[in-house]
Amino acid sequence: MPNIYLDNAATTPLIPEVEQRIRESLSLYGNPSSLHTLGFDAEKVISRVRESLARLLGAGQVVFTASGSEANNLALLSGAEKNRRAGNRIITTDSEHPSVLECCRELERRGFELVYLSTRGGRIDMNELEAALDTPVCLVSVMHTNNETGAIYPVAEISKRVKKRYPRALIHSDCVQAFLKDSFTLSGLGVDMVSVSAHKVHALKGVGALALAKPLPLSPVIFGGGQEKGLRSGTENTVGIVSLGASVETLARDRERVERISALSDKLVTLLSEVDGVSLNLPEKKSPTVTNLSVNGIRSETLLHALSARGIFVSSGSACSSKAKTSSVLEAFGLDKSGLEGAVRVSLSGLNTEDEIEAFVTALKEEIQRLKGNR
Amino acid sequence: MKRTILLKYGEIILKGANRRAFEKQLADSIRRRLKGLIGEYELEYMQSTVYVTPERDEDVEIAHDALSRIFGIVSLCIAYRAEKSMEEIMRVALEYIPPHLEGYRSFKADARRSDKTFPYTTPQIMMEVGGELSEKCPDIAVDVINPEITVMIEVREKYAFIHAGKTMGAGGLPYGTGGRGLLLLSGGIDSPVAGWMMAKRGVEVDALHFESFPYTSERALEKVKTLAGKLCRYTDKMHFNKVSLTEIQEAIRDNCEYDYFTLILRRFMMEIADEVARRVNANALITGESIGQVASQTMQALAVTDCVPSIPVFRPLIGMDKEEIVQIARRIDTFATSIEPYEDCCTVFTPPHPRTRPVLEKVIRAEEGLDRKTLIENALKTLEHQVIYNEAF
Repeated sequence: MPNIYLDNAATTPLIPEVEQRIRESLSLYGNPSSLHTLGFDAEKVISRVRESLARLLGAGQVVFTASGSEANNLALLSGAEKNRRAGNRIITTDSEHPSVLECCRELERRGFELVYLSTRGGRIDMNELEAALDTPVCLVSVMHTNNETGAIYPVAEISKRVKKRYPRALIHSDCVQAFLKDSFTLSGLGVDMVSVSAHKVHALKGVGALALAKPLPLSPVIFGGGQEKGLRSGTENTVGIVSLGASVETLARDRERVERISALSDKLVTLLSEVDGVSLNLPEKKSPTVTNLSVNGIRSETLLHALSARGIFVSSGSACSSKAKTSSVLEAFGLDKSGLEGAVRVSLSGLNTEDEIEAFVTALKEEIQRLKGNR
Repeated sequence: MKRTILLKYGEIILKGANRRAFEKQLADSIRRRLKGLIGEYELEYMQSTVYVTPERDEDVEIAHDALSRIFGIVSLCIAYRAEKSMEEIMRVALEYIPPHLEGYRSFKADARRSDKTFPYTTPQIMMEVGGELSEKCPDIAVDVINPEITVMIEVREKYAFIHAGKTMGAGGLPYGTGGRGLLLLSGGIDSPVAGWMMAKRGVEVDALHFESFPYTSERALEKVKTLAGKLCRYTDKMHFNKVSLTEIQEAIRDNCEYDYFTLILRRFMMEIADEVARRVNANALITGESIGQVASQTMQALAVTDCVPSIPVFRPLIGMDKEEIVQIARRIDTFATSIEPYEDCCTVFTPPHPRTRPVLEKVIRAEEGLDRKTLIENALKTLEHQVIYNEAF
């Protein structure tokens, strides 16, 4: 049986349209900063991708980076420092991606005051947010879709409330898991900065972008030759950026794709809810792309390996070893110890089929049976 | 300037009639090690010393490092090579030796002369070179009785060699002179150290690893291969065997009293290892057990597992403390890999209250529900073999 890939929140395979464009662009070896024709050719294709991404997200400026993590670093570190006059407080959540959370810890070391909103059950309490607005705020960073639980956080609602109290506060949203899966724009979310990544949407690894509603006086994290309007030095990754452009073009047009994923997700949730020993970790509002479940009494890494041996690839919420930590995101979600140890993430893309979902659930049942034994 | 690495034999020199065989194994080890390096090397053997001269002098440090892991070599030094005249010896000594003396308070010059036609006697060489060096380095005293460092001038057939200070070699006996043993290699700290200690005594070490996919991961297996690779920095290659214990573990889980889980499993491991040893012509098993370290390593527990195999089980760590084992693990560079957090087949089903003073009869009774023969046959069908090489030189 061919492989069943259900780990699309980690990364995604290339789609043929993207692969084709990558092949064509491999000959564009010129340095986009070079003044000769080869350089200009590379610069032109990069500009085209920049424009199409800006159109999709409603951005006034797009800065290409080497990853979603780097885009988050640029937004957080630079946004907070440049806007410090607006206030010393930063608001974020307790379940952000490590590239946001670790920046927050660094900003704490630099003297900022951090408030981590609870995301228990995938919910953010607006009263808790309002309470956090009792002191001027320079930066807010709340992700759009959580990568482990699929919870969709009310970013638009949060920005509205923040901007009402502190119009000068900068608002950032890590939209890596929502990009080309949920339709959103910077103005729709009411945010100033959005991070996206190419490899989560069937393009190459090594490319991310920070989209800005309007140009901001940020300072770079990486210094050098002044590429990307001085915000991100280093020779641009032409082929990677082209792959992102191809993804945007292909996926933004394919409107049925999102509906297909939604239908698959519904089917998955229905089937899983009937499996003995499985409990679903469902947030209040869930993205169809990510479904989290806990298997009672089996460590998720063992289950992951058993499925992997059958060519089915999912992700575990915890590592097998007792020394390794369980997921802090799932802890924030409210899972207890056994829920954390048995947590498995299933994440879909438009390439998955109904048959695959059925085969996965069947395999899951069989492996649970086997791994539990008659004990 | 040409430099030469001098390797001094260890215990081999105590050997009598067998000495030739030991020397041949040692020469093979050295040649094999050098073959893995970039560059060409000239080799000479005389007076319980191997002279290794790289064609390109810049290779000397890397070769020195690689040769410091040859069993049978007790010490190494890097010598400057001079033409055989007193003027040249003096010139080389004065130009290159002073930096080696820095930080020491006293030195002496010593000399050896295998070429008796050399116009200076040993005491003359010592006095001439020592005197000039002392003048050039006024901060360091001459102490011929108890010097902190000795400058050595060796006048050999073709060249003279001058060196100061030496480093420790790997010691032990040449690899492959002590028979073959099968090491039960896990991903932990102890078993790689046990394998290294036996290899140091010249025992050729093959490895047997037990996995239990899906309870253990591919990364855990890769980690064990990395550990085998670390040992290959000393032994150049290792036969790596792997057997799956999954079916046996599930059978014990489903059929036996849980407190005996680890003991029953270890008895299976011993029996499988015994058979694998027979197949690979190994004459002993090697384990990393140390008395009292865990429940399955009490004296009573060891007795329950020790009676299974038909060949001797060597446990070189039996009387060592964890701290002592860790010290060796750090020295042979296995420690950092060993502490990577991937689960071992021994730990996945560990009972919460394992028996520490088991009685053999009771263990055998606890095993009664199992079809030992079929389980072992099936496990042996999963036996896979590969050769791991020294990739880090």
